[in-house]
Amino acid sequence: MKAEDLDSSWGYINYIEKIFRRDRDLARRIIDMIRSLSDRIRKDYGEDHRIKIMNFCGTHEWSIVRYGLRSLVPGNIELVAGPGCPVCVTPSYYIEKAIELSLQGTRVYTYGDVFRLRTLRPVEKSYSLEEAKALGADVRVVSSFTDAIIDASRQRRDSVFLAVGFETIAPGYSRLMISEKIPENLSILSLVKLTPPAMFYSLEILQEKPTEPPIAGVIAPGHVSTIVGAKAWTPVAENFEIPVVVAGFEPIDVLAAIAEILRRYVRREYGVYIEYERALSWHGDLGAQSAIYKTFKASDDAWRGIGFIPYSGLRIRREYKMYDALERHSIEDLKPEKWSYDLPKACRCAEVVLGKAKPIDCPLFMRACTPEKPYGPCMVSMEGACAIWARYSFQSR
Amino acid sequence: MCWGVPAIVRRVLEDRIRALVDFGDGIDHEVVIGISDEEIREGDTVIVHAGVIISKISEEDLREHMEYVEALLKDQNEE
Repeated sequence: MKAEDLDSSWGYINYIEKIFRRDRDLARRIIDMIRSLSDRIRKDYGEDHRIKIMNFCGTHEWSIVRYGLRSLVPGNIELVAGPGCPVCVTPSYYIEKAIELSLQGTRVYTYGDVFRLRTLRPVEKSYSLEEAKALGADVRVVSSFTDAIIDASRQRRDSVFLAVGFETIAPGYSRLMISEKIPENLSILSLVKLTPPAMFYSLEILQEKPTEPPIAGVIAPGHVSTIVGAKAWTPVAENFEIPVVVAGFEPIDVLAAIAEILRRYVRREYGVYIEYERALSWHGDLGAQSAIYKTFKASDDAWRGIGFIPYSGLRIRREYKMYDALERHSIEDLKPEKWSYDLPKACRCAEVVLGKAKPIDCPLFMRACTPEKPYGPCMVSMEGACAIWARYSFQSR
Repeated sequence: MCWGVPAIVRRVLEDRIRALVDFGDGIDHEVVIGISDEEIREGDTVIVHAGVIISKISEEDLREHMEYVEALLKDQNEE
């Protein structure tokens, strides 16, 4: 690292792009290491031995596909995507409730991908918030909760923010609730989900099929970990005895994470390792964790196409119920006995988010289900595996 | 949902809960400081996720990261 690389306020950002996105020599060195470790695996475990490396986060899958990283990894190593897209796993029920509210005159704010997420059942002929808006409902697309606050402060209409996301987004809601920066006419429908329980669940399901190649390691979400810390993945690493590498999202980050997993695999070592040194720490941000704990409680939560996962969702605590849209609008929370499988007919998103199938294994992929007209939830968000494969081409492996 | 966008902090608002950041388009965007606010200063390089500052990047962090990558490669070459 040279001083001139960091000679302006944009110096760090330019440096990150120069090294982690565009340094071909560094990429070549890491790929050589991956190939050499792949040879070592063949030598130690046999020519036919295959392994899987699971990425949990939609943004990692985006980088893998966007930069063609699968084509750089030897054939005995398979990169599989996991349930790392909160839009894809949001149950139809809550979107239906949001559509109902919007048609009854409540202003609903949401992110652009949630806006297009389809429900299983129509609500007054609308299968999405997008369709409800076309019928005259008051739905506003925003890029952040602060945008919703600014807009809600300028009008008096009852308003709800549809809060979909993982731990990364939670401290924003928490700090604004604690500091009372949310206008009285705005409440939060919290659909925030917790990622470690889902990773646990996915790995358990994948291990049920011993005929499949084993999961040799996991690439864990870097930005979630800036909040929860790398420590959050320790139970996963210890229970499944696999390396879990918390990684950044540039192509070099992902390649380095793959190399780290393979290095640990051949040594038969397991634990949590940080690749994303520039952005996170072992303990995470304790202030953010404290704010989340103060305002939210963990509850059993439904993941579309997957099922109910214990303590995998965040609901607003009673002390902050004035901000809770479930409370304000008397919306009953989803219970396991009322939850259905939640996917349209023939859609294989459930297997895609669990790493059991690739998008191209689905009969609907790029036929009845496209980014322009998404049918299944994984085709909606730019972080859904199907949408990523559709946009940036796809390979059979 | 891990999309993070680097930005420069232009101003920390008085409540120290919010800040104005520049994503490179020259426009001040209001975001929430999701991490411990005492760490955030004007001129800092941060990562923003859906309107929330989730991490601050320093020269020391970058140095540590490069050392990690080099150590990973060196370790392999020695085996």
